[in-house]
Amino acid sequence: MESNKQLQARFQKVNLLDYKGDQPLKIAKADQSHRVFTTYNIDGLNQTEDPISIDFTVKKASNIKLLDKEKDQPAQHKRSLQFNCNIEEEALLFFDKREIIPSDNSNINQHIKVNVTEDAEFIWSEIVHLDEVSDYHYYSLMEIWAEEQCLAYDPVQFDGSEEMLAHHGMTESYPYVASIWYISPDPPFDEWDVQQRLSQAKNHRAGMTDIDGKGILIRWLSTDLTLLKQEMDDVLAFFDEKITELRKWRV
Amino acid sequence: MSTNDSPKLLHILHMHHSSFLKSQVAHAIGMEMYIRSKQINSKEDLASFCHSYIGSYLIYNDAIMIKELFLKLKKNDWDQVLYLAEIYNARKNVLELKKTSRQAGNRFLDRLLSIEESPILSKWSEEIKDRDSLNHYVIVYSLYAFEKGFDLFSTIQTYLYFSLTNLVQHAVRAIPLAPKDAEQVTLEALAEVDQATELAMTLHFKDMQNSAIGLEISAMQHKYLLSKLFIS
Repeated sequence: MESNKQLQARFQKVNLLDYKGDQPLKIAKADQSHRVFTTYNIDGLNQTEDPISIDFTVKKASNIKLLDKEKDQPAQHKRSLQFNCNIEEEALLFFDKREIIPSDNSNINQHIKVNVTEDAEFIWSEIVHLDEVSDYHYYSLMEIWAEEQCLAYDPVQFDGSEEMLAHHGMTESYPYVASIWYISPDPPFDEWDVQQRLSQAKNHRAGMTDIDGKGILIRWLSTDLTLLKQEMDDVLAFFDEKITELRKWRV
Repeated sequence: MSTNDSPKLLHILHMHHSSFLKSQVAHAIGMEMYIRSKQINSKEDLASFCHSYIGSYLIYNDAIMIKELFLKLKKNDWDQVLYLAEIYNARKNVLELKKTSRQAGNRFLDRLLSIEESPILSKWSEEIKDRDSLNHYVIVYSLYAFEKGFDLFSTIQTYLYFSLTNLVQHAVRAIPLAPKDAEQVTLEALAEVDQATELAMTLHFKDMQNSAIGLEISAMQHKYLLSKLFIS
């Protein structure tokens, strides 16, 4: 039976998170210090088969980085996550690399709905493993709004048993799919700065697109997890550097 | 009235005629990188691409959008029509594909309004005066098809069929392939177009999905090519 729990975390005294679910969701301030970000570890998203619903507000001018502590862990057989987030003006939420590893017969369903207010910024990065098992269902809807305007509506779906995925244009035979979303009305870099960090090694593909001048999306298909992680780390470190340059004067 | 009526059938077929300046280059943009890297280099490769293109990319996006637009127009729910246009615009992740689709929408809308009275398209034209980013080809096509009383099945089926033939025509020149190979690919895919249309009739908005990551990456890379075979 599902219950409502308000709580578990207060970020910088003002950022609130409401959580719906029985299993404990743990959020703790990380030891690592940063000139701009306040970093939190998030834990417990992968410990229940009950639906998890999180409503999260990043208050004005906060710079929050969330690190998923459960990466590298195979997902529960059934996992349902509803993540609603409102990022107020001048604030930034950076959800660092989540790794989704479907287990046998797993059914993973997540809906990430984010609203960015005025000049708020949002960064999300994720890797999905497609070759660990053959029988899984993964559905992830990324829905990003800038108040009235929908910036992204991306219902990614992979079904391990789906023959179609092997065809040209789909995920083909690549075992890893990764994405980075960076939403900002005025990204603090040139697209070539990012483009030059993407390699086109054999059996590794990467592409980047502008989202109507409101951000960028980078996508990878890869057979090399080490190279993929290196490249994502490089891009995220570059974002971190540029964000720090700008925001260090505001904190 | 059904498009089985000959004049209606000819009318909907003519909507896809090249004289309407309809650009389906968007579909070829993603394919170009596969052709350049020799991953699409034969009749079989092209058939594989068409299979995923019709059976996944178009059916779970454009076909569902056409169906949902028909449904909302039938209920006269204009707010939902605008919402669907907003979602369709956001659903296209790659800017190059977005721009090409909008360009085709703009051309199609202008041409239709210049040749006949259309209350729905006039209303749409007013609506997007300040939001022309929503004016995608599939939206204009659906609005017009609904207004003209084309049945939903034929509207989706012809859309899929002409997207397929357009893609094959581009591939024939770029790979290159013998014309008879292209005809074989097209004829073999016809049954798939039919099945995809049948399936689309049973799908809903919540069934929209994106599995075409390879196609997206190819379309993203296309922007950075120094010389391009296909441009919008």
